[in-house]
Parts: sequence; C-alpha cells; structure tokens
Amino acid sequence: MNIAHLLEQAGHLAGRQAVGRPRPIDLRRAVSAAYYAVFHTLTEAGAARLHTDATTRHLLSRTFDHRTMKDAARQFANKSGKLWLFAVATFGSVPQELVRVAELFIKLQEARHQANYDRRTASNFSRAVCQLRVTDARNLIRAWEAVRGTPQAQFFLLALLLKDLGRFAD
Amino acid sequence: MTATKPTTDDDLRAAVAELPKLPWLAADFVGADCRIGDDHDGYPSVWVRLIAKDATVERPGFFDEFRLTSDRVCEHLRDAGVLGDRFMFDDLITETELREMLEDIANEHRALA
Repeated sequence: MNIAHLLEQAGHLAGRQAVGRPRPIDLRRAVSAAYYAVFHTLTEAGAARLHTDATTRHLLSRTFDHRTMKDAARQFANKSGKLWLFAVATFGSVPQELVRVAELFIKLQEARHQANYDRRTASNFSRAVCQLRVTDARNLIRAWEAVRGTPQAQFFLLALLLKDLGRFAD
Repeated sequence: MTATKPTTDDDLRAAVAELPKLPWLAADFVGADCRIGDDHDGYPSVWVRLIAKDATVERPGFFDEFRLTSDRVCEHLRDAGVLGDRFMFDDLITETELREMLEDIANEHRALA
C-alpha cells in the first residue's frame, strides 16, 4: 500500500483549489483515505516488527483489527488503563508524540466510521473538517516517524495488534 | 465536606456555547455547538464543533495550528469540570459551509414532506 498516494488522494479530494462546492461523497472518501493512510502506516510497522518476510508481513498486517487498535490507542490517548500504566512503569515515560499518535488515530477512526456508514445529510462533512483530518493524518505519520524506533512505540504496536495484551499487563 | 455538584449535559452545552467569547478564539470563530453521545464503539463522547470565519480557514498553516486550538478547548472544558469522562472529538465548519449544510437539510425535509 502506498501511503503517500493515499494521503495525496485524500488531500486532492478535500482540496480547496476546486471550484464550487465539493461533492459530499468526495469529502467522505477524503476522510476515509486519510484514515487508511494512518491505518496502513501502523499495521505495516507492526507487521514489520514481527517478521521480515514480505508475504508473512502482508498476512500479519491483515490481522490488525480496528476495534482492538482503538481500544489500545484510547488508553494511550487518555493516559490511563493497564497498557498505559504498564508502559510508564516499564519505560519510565511515554513520548508526547506517541500520545498524539494515539489521540489522532482515535479521531480519524471515528471520522472514517461516520464517512463510511453514517449516510445522513446532517452527517456530511464540511470541507474545512476534511482538510483538518488530512492534516491530522499527515501529522500523525510525522509524529510516528519521530518515535517509531523507541521501545514505547514498539510496545504500542504490539498493543494495537494483541487484543488481550492489557489483561496480562499488570 | 462540600459535595461537588454533578455536571450535566446542559452544563457542557452551555460551556461550549460560550467558547467563542474566549479571547483566544474570538478572532477566528463566530460560534460553537456540540453533540453529546457515544462513539461508534459505545464510549462516552462529545463532538465540539467550532464555526470559523470563512477567511480563517484560508490562512496558511491554519489546520496545523488548529490542533493546538483543539487541545486548548479540551483543557478549558476539562478545567471547567464539564467534560467528565467523555472523549472530545473536534469538528470544524465555516460560516458559509454551515449555511449550505442547513439549506441541504431543509431541502431534504421539504422533499420528504
């Protein structure tokens, strides 16, 4: 998956350069593409953490579950819960950039759910918020690049993948 | 010991409505509202929508700056004691976009009537 292309597509669909009102479907697709750019960034990083073979990495990246990822991200964003406490106790601290990754991931995932499943006119997106979501996706990836080599980020990746990791993080 | 008065959804709505009066928001935003509920996984949440002046979103770097604005709004509501355990989602719309959206909704209602 080419992350840069997904971000480029999201930016294009949400772009302000277009004349007239954007079509609601284009704005919804922009939000969805922005989310999938960060989803694939994190799942590919998680799969690469576990295996070096390309075919196996692809298989592993498909095992990530949106709900499990969100539950883990929520603990980091809220700075609470077993996963967060384990990370702080084990590593001493958690980089602020990683907290930002978690927070933006939750916001983008919720927006993607609205974009894909809430068809009400009242739930259409403004172009302004679509541009914000695309910016959020870019900033998430930038923040991720800043911390991805840290042990805290590597633990975060495992937490995104393993649904029950929190049960054992006492 | 003094019992703390529990905050209600109305307290939260009132605090959000007052946001554009804050000096650090007044120059760029003309209104604010919110929707209170659960996110798609059932977590308590609030969607705070800021209504921006049209020119505000045209300013270079605005969308990067907005992340810090959103952080500050969240801190403000938390400090006011009205956020509770809700996760705050930010939402953004311009004056023109809001007017167009309300027209779309009105047209849809007319078509269904």
